Amino acid sequence: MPAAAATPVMADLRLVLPEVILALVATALLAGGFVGVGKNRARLLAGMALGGLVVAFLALWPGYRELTGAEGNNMMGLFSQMLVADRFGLFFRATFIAVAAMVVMYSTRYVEQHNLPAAEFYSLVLFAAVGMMLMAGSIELITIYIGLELTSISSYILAGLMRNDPKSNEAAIKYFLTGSIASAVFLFGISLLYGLTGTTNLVAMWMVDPSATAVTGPAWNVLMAVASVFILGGLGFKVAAVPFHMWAPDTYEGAPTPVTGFFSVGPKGAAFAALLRIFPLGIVLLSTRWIGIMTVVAVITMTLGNLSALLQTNVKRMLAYSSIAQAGYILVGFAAAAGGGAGGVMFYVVAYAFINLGVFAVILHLSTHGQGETVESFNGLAQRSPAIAAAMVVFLLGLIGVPFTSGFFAKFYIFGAAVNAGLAWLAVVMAVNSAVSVGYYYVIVRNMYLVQPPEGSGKLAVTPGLAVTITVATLMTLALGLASQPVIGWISSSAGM
Amino acid sequence: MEKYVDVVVFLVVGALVPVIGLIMAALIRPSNPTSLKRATYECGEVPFGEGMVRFNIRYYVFALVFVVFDVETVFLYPWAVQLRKLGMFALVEMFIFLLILIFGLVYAWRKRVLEWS
Amino acid sequence: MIPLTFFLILAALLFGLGIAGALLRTNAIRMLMCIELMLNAVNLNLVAFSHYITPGVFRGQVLAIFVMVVAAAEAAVGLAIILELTRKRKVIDVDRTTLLKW
Repeated sequence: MPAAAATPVMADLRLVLPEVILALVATALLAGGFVGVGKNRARLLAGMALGGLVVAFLALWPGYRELTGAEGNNMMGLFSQMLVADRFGLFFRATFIAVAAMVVMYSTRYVEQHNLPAAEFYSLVLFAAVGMMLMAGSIELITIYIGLELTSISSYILAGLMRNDPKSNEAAIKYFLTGSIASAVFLFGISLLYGLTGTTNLVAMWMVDPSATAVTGPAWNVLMAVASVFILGGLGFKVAAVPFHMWAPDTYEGAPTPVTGFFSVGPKGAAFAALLRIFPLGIVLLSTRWIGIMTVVAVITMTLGNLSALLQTNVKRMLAYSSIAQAGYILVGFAAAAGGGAGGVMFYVVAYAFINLGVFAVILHLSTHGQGETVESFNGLAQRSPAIAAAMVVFLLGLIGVPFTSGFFAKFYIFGAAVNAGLAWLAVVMAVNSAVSVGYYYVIVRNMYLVQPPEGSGKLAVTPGLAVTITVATLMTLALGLASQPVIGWISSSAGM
Repeated sequence: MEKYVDVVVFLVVGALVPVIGLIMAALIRPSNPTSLKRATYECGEVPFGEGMVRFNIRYYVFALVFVVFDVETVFLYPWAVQLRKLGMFALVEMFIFLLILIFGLVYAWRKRVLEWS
Repeated sequence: MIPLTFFLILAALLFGLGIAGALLRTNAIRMLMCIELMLNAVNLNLVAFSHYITPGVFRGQVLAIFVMVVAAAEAAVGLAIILELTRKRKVIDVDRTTLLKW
């Protein structure tokens, strides 16, 4: 329960310091676009963004202390409950800062090569990160909406940032139009939820008595289901769940590659955090209709994602469908909320974030040498950059869910939750789908190891930023696969688990 | 239902006022049209071309900047009404908000969005 | 007093009109206008609920103000993207943006 008494502003501010720092740095980066010229400016701006992210990560410390201290406060409402400090939020906020930091690191070379406006690029990544953090760090629908829009609007611009490439513009326009429709649908759901419960605060919603509201009985159930469908539709779009996935392949292919990597884990993870807040942790006591809907959506999403991925030859497009399939697995965790699926979702989002950013770092490595669009560009990578090819194998094993990688535990926890919740058949569908996914991931491994590199191609040099990103991603994938206990401990102590 | 009668009466009277006005004016005024008098009035400028043309796309950029800054001011109204109750904190907060807006304007200006070129 | 249901029906109609237009139209500007229509339906809902369900508490109105402001920002970004499309490709019809297709 949040503390009812109003806390002093400064104390509250201390707990949202990471967001404040990131917003300030993002603004400063925009201004930084005007000062100084020359080749080093882009690199300086990247350094500034990275520095800001590191400081923001350190600024999570007061919140961590507050939540783990002797007084053991579980959930602190900030700024009249508009934001909240709890273990759940801290977990996701830390993840999003890490994601943004890795995106900044692996983008530097791409930004220089493709002449992207560096100031705007890094600034928008940070703004999107702030939006994601607001989404995860709130139990108030107003704030969740603001966070969602901050993330989305930044994303629309990021998708279209490559102004000399018509594909990038097309990706942006498709993302924008479908995204805005989804936002409006989400909002309509929120407005219904507000009308039904009389509040926009998710904690206050727990305490709403369905028999004492303006609408009761069957009408309540129907309207609650309608509201759930609208909210699920709006956020389902952001996670690219079928049938709201149509934008993903086009946007993933057309957007600048580092941005695609960011889309596949950042805004997506934030939407999952918001879905967790709203459904299994929020309105679960008021209505359970959404569970059935989630089950259907999960099955269709993973099956369609995997089958479509099998047909792709463009790597970014294949990864778009792969990421749709992964969203399907995560949605199983929602359907199995009764069996502890929420914890599985949290672990999956983190595990997937590091794996997928690693995959995109490898693609960017190829793209610095003018390749990386098709699966053939992986030909003979084992000879051209052995270490990176090995890392790629780790990531792909993680995506499949092989033991000793984080992907295994991610699937394992969701699998277990599904069995616990009496949805064993859903767990079986998930396992079959994972088996199908081997088909398209294997193509990349085969091309790297069994196919000879093109004539006359030597070793590929790797940039420091990419080397660091790939190393961190590999280490995290293995660490979460071999020693997941601390993370699991934190997750199980998070609110409402 | 009686309240709706008021609305209907209001609508009818509202619609009649300009009609009566125009008819009265047509009856009273002298009629002496010249080509200059019949021309469309455009703030004193000599009108040229058709009205139904495609507007230059560059107008949109100004419109975009205007819309954003115009709508942001909507926050000022509830703030102004409640300021006395909210006190110092709200005052500082609004100035931070305005500072961000001003930064946005300066950014647009430095990006040469406000120039016609 | 006009009952709440009237507002809700009007909002639902507006929203339906908006989403139908947004999904069926191919002109990007028209789609944008339809999206604005959907957001207005949401605002109508919010303000009506706020007035009837929680009189004296202005949660709904506050959210409506935020929706308006965010919608303006969104429209600005959207128009800028559409502007870029018209400048580069001389089209505004999203049916003709087919570089990316599955």
